[in-house]
Amino acid sequence: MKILVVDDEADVQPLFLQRFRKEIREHELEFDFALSGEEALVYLQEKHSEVVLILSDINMPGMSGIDLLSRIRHDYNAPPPPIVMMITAYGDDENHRQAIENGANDFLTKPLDFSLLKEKLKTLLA
Amino acid sequence: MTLNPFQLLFAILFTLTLTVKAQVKPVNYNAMPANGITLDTGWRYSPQDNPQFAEPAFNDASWGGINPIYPPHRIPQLKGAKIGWLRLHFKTGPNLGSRPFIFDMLQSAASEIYLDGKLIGKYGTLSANPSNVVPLGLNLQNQEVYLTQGAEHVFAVRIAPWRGPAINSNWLYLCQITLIDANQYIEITKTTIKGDEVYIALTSVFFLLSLLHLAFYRYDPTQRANLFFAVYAIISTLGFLGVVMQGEVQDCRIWLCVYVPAFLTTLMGAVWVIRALGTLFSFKINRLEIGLWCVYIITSFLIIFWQINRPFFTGLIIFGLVQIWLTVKALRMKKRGAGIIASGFAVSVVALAPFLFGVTISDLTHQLLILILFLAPALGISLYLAREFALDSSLLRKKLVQVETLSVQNLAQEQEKQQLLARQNDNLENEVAVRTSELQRSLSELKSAQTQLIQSEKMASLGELTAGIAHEIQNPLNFVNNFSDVNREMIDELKEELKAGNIDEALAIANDIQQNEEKIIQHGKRADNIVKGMLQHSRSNTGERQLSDINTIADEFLKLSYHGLRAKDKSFNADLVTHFAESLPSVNMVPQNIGRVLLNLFNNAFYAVNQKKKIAGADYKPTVEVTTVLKDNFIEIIVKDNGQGVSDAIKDKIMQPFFTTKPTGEGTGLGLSLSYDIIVKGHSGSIAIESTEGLGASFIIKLPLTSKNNESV
Repeated sequence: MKILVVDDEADVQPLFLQRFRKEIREHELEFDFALSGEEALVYLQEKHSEVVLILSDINMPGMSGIDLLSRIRHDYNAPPPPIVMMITAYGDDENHRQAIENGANDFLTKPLDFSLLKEKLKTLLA
Repeated sequence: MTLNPFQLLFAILFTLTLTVKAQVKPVNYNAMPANGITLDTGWRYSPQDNPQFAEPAFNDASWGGINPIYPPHRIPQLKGAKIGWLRLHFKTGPNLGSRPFIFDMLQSAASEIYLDGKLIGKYGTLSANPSNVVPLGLNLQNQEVYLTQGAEHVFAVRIAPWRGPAINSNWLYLCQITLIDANQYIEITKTTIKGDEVYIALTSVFFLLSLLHLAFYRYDPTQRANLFFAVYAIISTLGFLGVVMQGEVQDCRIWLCVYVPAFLTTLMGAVWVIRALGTLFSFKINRLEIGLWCVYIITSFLIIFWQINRPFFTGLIIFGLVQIWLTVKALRMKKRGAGIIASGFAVSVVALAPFLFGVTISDLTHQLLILILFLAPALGISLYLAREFALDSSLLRKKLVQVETLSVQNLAQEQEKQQLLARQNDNLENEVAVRTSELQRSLSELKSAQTQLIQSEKMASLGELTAGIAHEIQNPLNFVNNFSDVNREMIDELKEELKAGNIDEALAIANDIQQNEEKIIQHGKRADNIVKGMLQHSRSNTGERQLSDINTIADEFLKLSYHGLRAKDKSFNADLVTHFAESLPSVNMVPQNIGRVLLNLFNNAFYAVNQKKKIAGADYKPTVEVTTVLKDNFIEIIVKDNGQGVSDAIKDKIMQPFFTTKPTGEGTGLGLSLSYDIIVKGHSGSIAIESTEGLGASFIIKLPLTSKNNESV
């Protein structure tokens, strides 16, 4: 299962790779990364069919996560639609509401609770 | 037909014979007229000069007759004559009897008088040269002569005529001899003396009047009537003096110089009186005056060249009438004091009446009347002027009293005003003092308010930061937590691998753990910096200078600002573009202050693009750019946005304290003002704005790389 992680923090990449090293090693999960919404859209143009899950930060310079979400829901929502999870440092209701309104499947707050994330992935994959 | 000398001699001898035979018949006088016997007939004249002619026996039957009671220039026989002789034969009748007579004479000549061959008087100096003749002809010493009744007496006069100016018919007669009684002589003498007295009195009075009115004029030049009246009085004085003198002088030449001017000055005086009257009654008589002077000139001419009496009295009457007319006019117009002058004239007219109507009056009355005649009008005018002077003086005195009263009042008012002014000044000073202290109080209040505002501005920007800070801290915390967690797991795995003896695997895991640890440290520091920055930012403005990297600070605060805004407004988004110059030297500065400035500029830039996004179309891409450039001796930081821009109208104002374009409550108006102070005053730099309205704005900060600001390259 291919997961696209969109975050402007570059260190998110090693973090994910480390956290999911077992799953990666066992080829359960495959990660791709984008450092901005724009980069993510470029990536999706080619590989939207491969990607099952998109994890995106909301607060990014340039295109925000919410924008990216609405673009995905608009452009790449052909069935099966990708699962989109929003991640933000601001775990407030307003962010949550906006994310859900724009079609996010789930909403996670930073610092990321990877065990919770893994639980959710298991649920999704089950 | 011509006669030969013999015939001529014969003719003369014949004539002489005839005349010798003929005897001259004496003139008979047998009565004594009131004015004495004037010897005006029977005179004979010879242009020859011969001592024989004095003899009574000399037969003058051949001489021609002559009337000597004419001015010399009008007697034809005298033409070309030098020294000649007059002879008169006469007798006195029984009515007169044999007795002494006073012999009185006047003449326009020098002469020797013989009565019956005896020299009884010599007057003046005779000379064959007419210019050497000294004519003493007036006011001569009287002689007493004894005349016998019925006897024939002969007056023989050796005479050298003085002709004088041959212009007037009234001038002195050649020779006028009058015989008078002793009684008559006494009367005449008395009258003459009294006449002199009158004129001497008039002279004195008029002289005094002239002095008086000159003095009046001297003290009050505005009353010109005084001047004119004084002129009149002086002229009259001269006239009267002339009258007095003409009764004293003997020399005909002097007499002529006194007698005629006496008339001319008297007339002229009358004209000046009119002038004085016109002035004191305030009549406009310029034209009249010209007319009067014309009359005066004509009459004067006539007096000199024709005769005295008729022109003189005509002029006098004309002037007198004009004077009376002016006075009557003034009376009608009820001019003040006109009555006094009118009375003067009235009295004068009354005094004149007896002369006009030929009333017989005593000499004394005559003198008195003359005195009154001249004095009354003059005294009237003089009294009037004196009264005017007195009235003016008393008026002035009253006015003076009024002025004094007024000035006392004025002074009192002035003092009152000054007191009032002083009181008001005191009040004003008190008020000013009160106001000043109030102002100082409000100034200190303002200062404290300003301090509070600056503080609240800091807190406001801090508030804006909080959300950004939260995000910024969450991110590193995310890594710290998660990498720590991963490491814990990996250490477990590492232990297992070691137990299993897989050294290579264990080393790979250890490397990962090491890398993760570095990440943890790195992100821990990052969080630490953020918290420090926040603390520094909120601290008061006493940050210490330290060498700092502009790029780091700019990047940090750009992100802080951006996330701060994002935290408030989820829909907000913008492109952040950074053009950081590589290898910038560190700058000696107060980093939190520069950070505050940059934060302000970023906040403004984001605010501007956000505002524009609300009205711009979907194509609009909000962009905020930060550029750092190294120049010769300074670093340039450019914060550029493509927002609304700043209009020229407010470009000059945006650096002023409390100026804000944000809606009430959103901005304090202190951000740019504080930024300006920090850059310009705190770091000797400059801050400028370039903007095109609608297209965006650039704020350009220049920080000098002086030794003060820059300690390493």
